[in-house]
Amino acid sequence: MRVLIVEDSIRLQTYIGKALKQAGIAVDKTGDGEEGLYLSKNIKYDVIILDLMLPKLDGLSILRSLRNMGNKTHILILTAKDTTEDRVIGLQQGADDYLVKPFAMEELVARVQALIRRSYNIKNSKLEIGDFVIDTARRIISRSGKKIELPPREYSLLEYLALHKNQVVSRTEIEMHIYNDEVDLMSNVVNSAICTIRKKIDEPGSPSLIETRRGMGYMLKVVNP
Amino acid sequence: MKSIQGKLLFQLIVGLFVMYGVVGFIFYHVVAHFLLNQFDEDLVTWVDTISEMSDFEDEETDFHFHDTAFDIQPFQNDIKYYQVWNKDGKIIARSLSLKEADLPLVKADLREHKFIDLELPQEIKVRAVAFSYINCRPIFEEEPFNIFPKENCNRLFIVLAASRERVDDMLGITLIFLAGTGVLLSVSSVFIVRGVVVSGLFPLNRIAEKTSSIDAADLSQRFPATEFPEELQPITERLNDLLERLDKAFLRERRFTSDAAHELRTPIAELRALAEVGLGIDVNQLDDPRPYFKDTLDIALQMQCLTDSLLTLARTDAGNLPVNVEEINLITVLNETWKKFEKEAKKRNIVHSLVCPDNTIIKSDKSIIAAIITNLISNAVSYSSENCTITMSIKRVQDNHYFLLSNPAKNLDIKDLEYIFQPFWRKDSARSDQSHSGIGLTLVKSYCQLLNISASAEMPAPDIFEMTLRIPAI
Repeated sequence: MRVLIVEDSIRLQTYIGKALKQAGIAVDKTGDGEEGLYLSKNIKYDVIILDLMLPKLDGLSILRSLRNMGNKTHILILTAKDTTEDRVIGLQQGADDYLVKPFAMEELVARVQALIRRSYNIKNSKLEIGDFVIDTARRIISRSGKKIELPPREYSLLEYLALHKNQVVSRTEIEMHIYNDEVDLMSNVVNSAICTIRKKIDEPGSPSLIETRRGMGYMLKVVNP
Repeated sequence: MKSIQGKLLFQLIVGLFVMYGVVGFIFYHVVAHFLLNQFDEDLVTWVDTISEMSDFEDEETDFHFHDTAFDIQPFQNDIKYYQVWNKDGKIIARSLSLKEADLPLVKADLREHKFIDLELPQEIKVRAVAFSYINCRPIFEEEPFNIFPKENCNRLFIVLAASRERVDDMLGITLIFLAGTGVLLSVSSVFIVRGVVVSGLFPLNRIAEKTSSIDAADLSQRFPATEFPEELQPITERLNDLLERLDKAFLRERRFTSDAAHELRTPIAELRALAEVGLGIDVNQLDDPRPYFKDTLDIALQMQCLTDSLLTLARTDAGNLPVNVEEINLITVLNETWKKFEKEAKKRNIVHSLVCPDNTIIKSDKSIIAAIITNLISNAVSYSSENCTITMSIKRVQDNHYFLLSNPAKNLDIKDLEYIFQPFWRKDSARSDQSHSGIGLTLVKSYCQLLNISASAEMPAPDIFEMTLRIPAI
């Protein structure tokens, strides 16, 4: 899952970024409105966290511009403006959520995750694939009732594949959504992560839940009983 | 009566009644005067006719008019009366129409006509003319030829009267007409006046309606100048002025709330985010915790500075800031303050110039003056363009020292000067630079008011900002 933070406070950028990364979400950051708009138009983010008072181009202008273009990325406004009028304006202009500073980091992360689920049309926080269950709210994976521990990045990768079940997800897409700019083009971090996941979730002797499509990517296969 | 409509209605209707009454009264009397004048003229014509046509046979015994004397227009069909007296007051002739009654003897001078209104028995109203003339019996037979010897002349007093029924009837009709018209006018004027007043007051109702539709949430509405009558334009202009001021005040309030929220909430949000993320980190995996503490300290200092500024502002505005007056050399304060910002100025290649007289001693509170100068120089160094000169000067004009500080300010507009002293106002709407909170110039203004110093900001040229302090000299 990839999130863009458009916030001119470097500290907030840093700490929100850290919190989202801890939650297994890839993060891009910018401190000015013009760059924020550029990135939003050119990269497909799952959620954009948008401050309103930005240099060069304010948050509401970015919001209007994106919605006028037909961009449907979920946007969470994060701002110190707390009046009802400000909230109403923000939501009417097309924001999906509105959070006032100061805020609980846990709440921000939970709202971002809720918006991510919404972007995949998932109402239930639990993804069930056969006897395999991913609780996206609690970030717990279980198979046949047995809990499986995965590091955050691997969990996010598996969640991403589960959200795109029975669809081929390319390596590039995984890199963009899970690892953003941290991945070297020549690295095999994705392969390595898939390998780790398979070891944890696959049952010995049974075909892997994650199928490799050579030259194309990976697919979480759902087998109907 | 508190209703304009009611008051107007009452006043207009009463006014109309009074006016009608006065006009009717005048009209009636004009008509009466005209009719009586006409009647009197007719009486005079009759008198002249009588005088020419009368016979005098025997002054003692007989005096009679010709019959034709009574056949005179316009009295042809009226009842006529006459009575004649000699110079001794003896009645020598009277009309039969008088019956038992007598006309009064009125001794008019020769060539004089006296008109009188009389009432005869049986309530017969007549108008009479009294006149006199000398009637002489001519003698043609005797010589010398003296047609009118004195001894044959007799002064006669005559009163002629005719019924004034015709005149009275016409006056009666006139009165009835006036009364009838009056009633009709009264009734119709109530409706007409009411309609005119309601229609006349309609623009006022429109103003009331439009005013009631104005919401505090949207004060952008104005009363169009051309939509209302001339007489109401002063009201609409004042209302528009008031709305403009209210709109500005609300905008100022909203802006202040928004700016204050940002300045106060952002550091707290940063602190909270920092703390929550820090608490979530596994201490064993943390290389160096110092960045967290550094950020915590920076935020704390920022908030301390903001809190101090706000508290000082509150105290200054309340007049609770102690003021210790002493002699201060303004040049010394300027130079000392500039030294604090020299390093920062050098980084941006900013220099300063100072032009001042030898003696710039003032009596004031040194720490507050220093705080004012610090704020001004801090702003100038922070917001001037790079590679420029900040110009400072002091000049003495009569009983005041004028301190001027001028610096290039590319991003500032003359319209910004309206807001420059308002709390939390900053040109940068994003408020990204956290070293300034927008309280500095508000504090300067407040300090100046406390010390009886006048502070003003101008843009004498595009992109040049100038601050002037007028400080009372010793």
